[in-house]
Amino acid sequence: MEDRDIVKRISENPEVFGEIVDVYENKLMRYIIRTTDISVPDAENLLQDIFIKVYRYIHEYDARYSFSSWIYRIAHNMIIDNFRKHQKEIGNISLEDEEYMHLIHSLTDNNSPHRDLERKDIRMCVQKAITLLKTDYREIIILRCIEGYSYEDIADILKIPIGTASTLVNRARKQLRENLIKLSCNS
Amino acid sequence: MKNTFKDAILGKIKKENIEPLPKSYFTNKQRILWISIGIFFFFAMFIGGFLFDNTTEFFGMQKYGQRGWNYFFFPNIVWLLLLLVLIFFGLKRLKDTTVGYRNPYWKDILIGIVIIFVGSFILRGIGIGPMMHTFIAADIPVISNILYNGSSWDSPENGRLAGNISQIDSAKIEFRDINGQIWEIHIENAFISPFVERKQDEKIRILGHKISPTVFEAERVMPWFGGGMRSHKWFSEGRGMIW
Repeated sequence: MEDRDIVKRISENPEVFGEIVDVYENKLMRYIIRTTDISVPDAENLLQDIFIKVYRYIHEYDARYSFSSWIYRIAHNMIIDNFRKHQKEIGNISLEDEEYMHLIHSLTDNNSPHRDLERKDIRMCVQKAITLLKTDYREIIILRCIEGYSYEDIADILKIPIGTASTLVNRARKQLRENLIKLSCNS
Repeated sequence: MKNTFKDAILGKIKKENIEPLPKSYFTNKQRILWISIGIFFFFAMFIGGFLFDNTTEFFGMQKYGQRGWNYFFFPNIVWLLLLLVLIFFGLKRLKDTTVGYRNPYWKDILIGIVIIFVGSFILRGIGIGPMMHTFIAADIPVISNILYNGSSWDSPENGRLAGNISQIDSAKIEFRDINGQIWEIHIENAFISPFVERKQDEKIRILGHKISPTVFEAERVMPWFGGGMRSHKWFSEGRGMIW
């Protein structure tokens, strides 16, 4: 579905909203789980609230921007609200193989030996290092290095200038590298 | 989970009869946001003009040695703080718009300063800025007495007088000060601001020196505040903007 047609099609037939749910359900679920530390049932409830808000606010979407960024922005805002309500420590995040490799490549300047990175202990270490990041750094690492969003999209999701998004990504990467060193993951 | 989750959402929408908010809700919200930004910047333009008025008046009066730096700093610091508050809230609101968050802060601040600077001069040029300044500096007692230290003009021994013109000719003014005392003011050698309209009941300020208990030699005659009287003149002659 083209971004610019979304609002029109949903206005004509609310059942079309099901397609949006299909496309974003798993992506947003992973995003929630990784940026917060809530149980799966709670995450499902939050996800449901996010989709209901997306449906109610569908006319707010401006077709000049990416629909994906807009829906992630709503998710981001609701995650923040939820986090404020139930502030607690974040647990370990889990990464799928491809995402893990993507993240590692984004942290290293050259081709690192895959054999070492694939070792289970290092992988655990990386996951722990991400967990130790501040909430906003963790979120930006997830958006940039795991979800693969551009700086422009990240700026739209977090409602910050593009330059700030780029700076935050660099700082988050630096912090992540430092965490890896602290955790003796630099082998 | 996939199908049941989608069904649950669509079911909830149907069951609770949830409707998308109308597009007008969001366009009106944006409109209100932009109007509030406009209001913040509009007032900031006035304040920018007040700062300019105060500064030019202060330096214009320096050669008379009548006013200390506190008269310059006190109102200007208050106006500057208010200006910063207005800019802060204006920019904060700007960041809530659909486009405002994309620019870095420094760029927004720079654009804001340019708008306020240019706007202040336009407001001054059409007379509304000084009129507003005159109004708040003369007619709002808190500002008149505290910020502009109006009572400091009730000091003929120190060369300062404020009050209203009773009668005026080329050589002297019959003048009633803010305590109601009548004075004869000699103005032959005085500099009279072009913004003084020289008419009965006009509120003015005078710098000079006391000659006797009822006679004062003027060195400088000014309107009650800044160039405000000019705008009154403009309006009375129908040359100003019509509201």
